[in-house]
Amino acid sequence: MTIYRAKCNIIRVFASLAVVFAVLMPCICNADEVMEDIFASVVVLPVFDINIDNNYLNFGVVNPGDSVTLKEGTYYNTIKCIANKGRKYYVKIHIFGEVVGPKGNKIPSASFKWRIYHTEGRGIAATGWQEFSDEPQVVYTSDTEDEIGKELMLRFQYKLDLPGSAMGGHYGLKVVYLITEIE
Amino acid sequence: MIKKPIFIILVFMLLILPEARSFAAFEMSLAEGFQTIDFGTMQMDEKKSITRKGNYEHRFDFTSDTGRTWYFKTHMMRPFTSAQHSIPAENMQWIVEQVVNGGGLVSNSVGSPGNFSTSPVLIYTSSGNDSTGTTVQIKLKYNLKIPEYQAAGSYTAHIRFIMVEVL
Repeated sequence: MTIYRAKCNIIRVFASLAVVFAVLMPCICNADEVMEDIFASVVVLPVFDINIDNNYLNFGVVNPGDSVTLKEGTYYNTIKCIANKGRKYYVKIHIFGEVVGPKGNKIPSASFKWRIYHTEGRGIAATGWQEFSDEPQVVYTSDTEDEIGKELMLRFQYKLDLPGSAMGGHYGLKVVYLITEIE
Repeated sequence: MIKKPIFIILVFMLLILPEARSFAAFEMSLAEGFQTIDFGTMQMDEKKSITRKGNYEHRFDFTSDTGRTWYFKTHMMRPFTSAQHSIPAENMQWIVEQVVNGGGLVSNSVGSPGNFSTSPVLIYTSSGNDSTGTTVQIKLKYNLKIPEYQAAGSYTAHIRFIMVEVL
């Protein structure tokens, strides 16, 4: 009988502890958490643009065999490009239409030259004086920073090396600048 | 032998009580607004606010009767991403426009923007009365600023809002 009572007491103690445990554990351990997932969207619009402040090159009156640089010691014009398509692009240059010069006198396009005077772009820029040609020439190849919308600025110098055999007179030309994804 | 029914009752309580505890209210719901926040089309360097419900975008409802402090937090699981390009989480902001029935503390004060982050950010801390079964409403609106330089594309982000009792 005594053993039975002792057993009952043990069971009673365990049961009481179990009740206390059951009541307190959710309070102690079961810190609740609920969540809600939301999705956000935006479309960033593409930009692919070029701006030129002056594309007419007026060399004035040039004598045969003379070399004339426009605005010697500084730059003549600036072009600005913005593109954010995330793809490589190229800036190209070429002569537009006929060279303005003395009547009946034709001089080769290569007599006109251009060079990049200054750029902060980190892409590949042509260096040194380059001869114009009738076909577009690559002036600058973009890098990844240019391709996500950072404005690219290119400042140019131009010169005319008039051949000794050419006629002296007033010379000028128009230049076309392109921004393209085609090499 | 008389004690046996008491033992059975105790065992029954042991099994039932944890279940009974879980009936305590602890709920958060998106009561107004959509599961997606659509900023539409934007240009580089543009800033836009989303408030499709008048002066707010979302209304979250919170109910707790646990008697314990709860916290409303958010974090950006995945920032705005399009292919290999992304917009930093911090470029999106949440703004608490209004708290209804709540006596707690808005982290950035009502009307002031707080940045999203890829780690949890605290929006609201409940006060004692907020955990007595009343429903607290929090109205949010959102801002997004496209960086000055950002690749074009269609970007999506994954945001998680959490009601939790652990800070």
